[in-house]
Amino acid sequence: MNKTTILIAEDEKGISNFISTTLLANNYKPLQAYTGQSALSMISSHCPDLIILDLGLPDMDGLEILKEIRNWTGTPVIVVSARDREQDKVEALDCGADDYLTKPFGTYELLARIRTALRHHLSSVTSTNLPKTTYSSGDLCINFDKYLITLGGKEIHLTQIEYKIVALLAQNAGKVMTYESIITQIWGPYALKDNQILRVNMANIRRKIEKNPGEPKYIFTEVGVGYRMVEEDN
Amino acid sequence: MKHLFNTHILTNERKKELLRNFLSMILILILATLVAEFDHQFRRINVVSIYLLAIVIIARVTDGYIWGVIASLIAVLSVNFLFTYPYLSFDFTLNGYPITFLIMSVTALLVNITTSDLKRHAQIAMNKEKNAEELYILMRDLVSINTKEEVINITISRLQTYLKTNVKFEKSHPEENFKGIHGYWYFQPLSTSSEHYGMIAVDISNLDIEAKEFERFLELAVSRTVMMLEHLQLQEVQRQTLLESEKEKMRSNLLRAVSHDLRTPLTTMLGATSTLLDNDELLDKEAKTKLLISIRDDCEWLIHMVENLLSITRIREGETKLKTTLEPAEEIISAAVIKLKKRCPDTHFRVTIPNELLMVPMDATLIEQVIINLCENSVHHSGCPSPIDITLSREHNFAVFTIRDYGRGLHPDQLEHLFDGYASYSKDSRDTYKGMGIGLSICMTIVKAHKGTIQGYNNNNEQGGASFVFSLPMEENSYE
Repeated sequence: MNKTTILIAEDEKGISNFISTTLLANNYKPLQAYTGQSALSMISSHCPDLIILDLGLPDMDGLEILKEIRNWTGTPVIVVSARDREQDKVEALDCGADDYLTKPFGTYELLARIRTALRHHLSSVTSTNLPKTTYSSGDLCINFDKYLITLGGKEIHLTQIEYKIVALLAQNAGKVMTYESIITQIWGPYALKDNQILRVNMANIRRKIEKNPGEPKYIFTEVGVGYRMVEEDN
Repeated sequence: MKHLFNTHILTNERKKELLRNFLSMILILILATLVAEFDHQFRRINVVSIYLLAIVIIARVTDGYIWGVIASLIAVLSVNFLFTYPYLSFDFTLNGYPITFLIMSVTALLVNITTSDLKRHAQIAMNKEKNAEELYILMRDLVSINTKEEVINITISRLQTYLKTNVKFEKSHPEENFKGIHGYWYFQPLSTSSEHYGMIAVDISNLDIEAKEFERFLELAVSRTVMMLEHLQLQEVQRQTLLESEKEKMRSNLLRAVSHDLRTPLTTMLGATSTLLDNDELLDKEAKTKLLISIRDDCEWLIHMVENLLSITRIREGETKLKTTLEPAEEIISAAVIKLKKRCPDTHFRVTIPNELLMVPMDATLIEQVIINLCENSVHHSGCPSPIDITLSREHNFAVFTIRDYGRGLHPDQLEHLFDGYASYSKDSRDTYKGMGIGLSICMTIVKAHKGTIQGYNNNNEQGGASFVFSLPMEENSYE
């Protein structure tokens, strides 16, 4: 069986080498590109299964590269950025990136994100975009056909909007959803881009599904970016 | 002579005064004539004395010389006309007449001058006293003020009440140092030795005060104001210098702390890596792992430090430019706890949030940093790393975050210097481990930039331990 190919577009050789070594050790096939141009040409020639893209490449704007890639392929992209650039992350996610990593990151985090991104991509390709019918993690179960959410077997009553938000996050479990993308998908493209109403709804949801809303188990906040729902139990 | 500025204008008040003077003169003269007539019937010797008395009285009750002089003239003529032969006709050829006339005139004039001088002096003394009192009030009002605008406003309003006329303050006047009358306005520049503030303009068309006196009073009043302004300027300069030196102190503290704190882990890492490279064959697996773990720990600590320093640069770019958005405080706490759990896997963090959703304007990354710093501080320095309680509550318009540990508490020496970067250098050796002094001083900088407050204290109950509390204002418009 062919190994999964992963392209690392990163100009810092130290970081690139460390990622590459980690991937090799975990049975992936890494490719290294140090500039945006070489990354683009390698993507078209090697067709990698996943791309790790540093937003701070020297020759091109990371967002430009991302848009270029998204013109012709749905290959999952994980962007890497510095901590204090939340806006970059949000823009990258809205431009079609699948996930993001904040420098500095550990190998555990990196591998987990890669697995999630690959699995999402795979399921969206094989199931021809049919949405999942159930979600379950810990005590929380969602049956999308029946619009039913249960916690430890007990039914949870959510308002329509609250249900929609939970369902959307569950469908994309493991992935970060930006505030804007959630608002657009729940309230429509012309809704105010003010995320306060979403935050209020989320607070209500947490008080209904989390044991301690201060220590959530199911829906996590990515500060300044959006929400991420915990992945399903296998 | 009262009105130098506006003799051409007969105001109502002035008309009334004229009429009063005129009427009192006529009345007294008529009375004198009646008395003289009565006296004349019998002896005809007191006529002149009666008129003289009348003139003295007139000089006393009227304002200025002029009424007395007119009265003496009328009196002379009356005596001539009514009381000397031939009666009811003028005869200026009478024997001794010129002497009578002269005596009466001179007496009238002298009496007039004396009385009106007396009156004028009394008036001046009264005005002076009033002015002095007014200046005193002005000074008293100004002393408690500490903004320049307020000083000017008070001056203007006091002048307005005292002079009973319209007083304006013009910030920009074409001629900065013009002083004097222009139209119906009297201008007085308001400037200290180093700064020009503007022009005080007094409406003089309706002014009830003598010109010279007015000028002197205004000058004195303005000089008081200028004195206060200069005083404030000086204070401001002092404050500015103090602020600058404070900032400088903080910066050098931070730099000192950082360089001290960076050196330790870097030395460890350098030592460990060279040992690994040079003595590869000599080390067993366990020793290698130990070294590698110490390198990883130090790296993590360095990353943490760099994140803290990044936070500072985010604020330093301009404290007023802090970009805040409304964030649910509970989400920030839970995000911080997720990160903390990775860093301190052995610690149990207990989070309590209120039922009410608290939306707080903040820079979420920075506040997350504050929570992480305070919690890590408790984990590393309390001597009891678990559990740590994180509580969110609301007090009026403040969201209050409390981080509590159950350790040995803070040393009294530390309490004073908790947030100024010195904390790590306490005499107590237990705190030499990679001081969190910087972490705490960064917390304070961040919280202050949010217009919040932060404090640390020992818990006063049997469970002991220390609490760090910071609160952030919830009203967005308070600093945007």
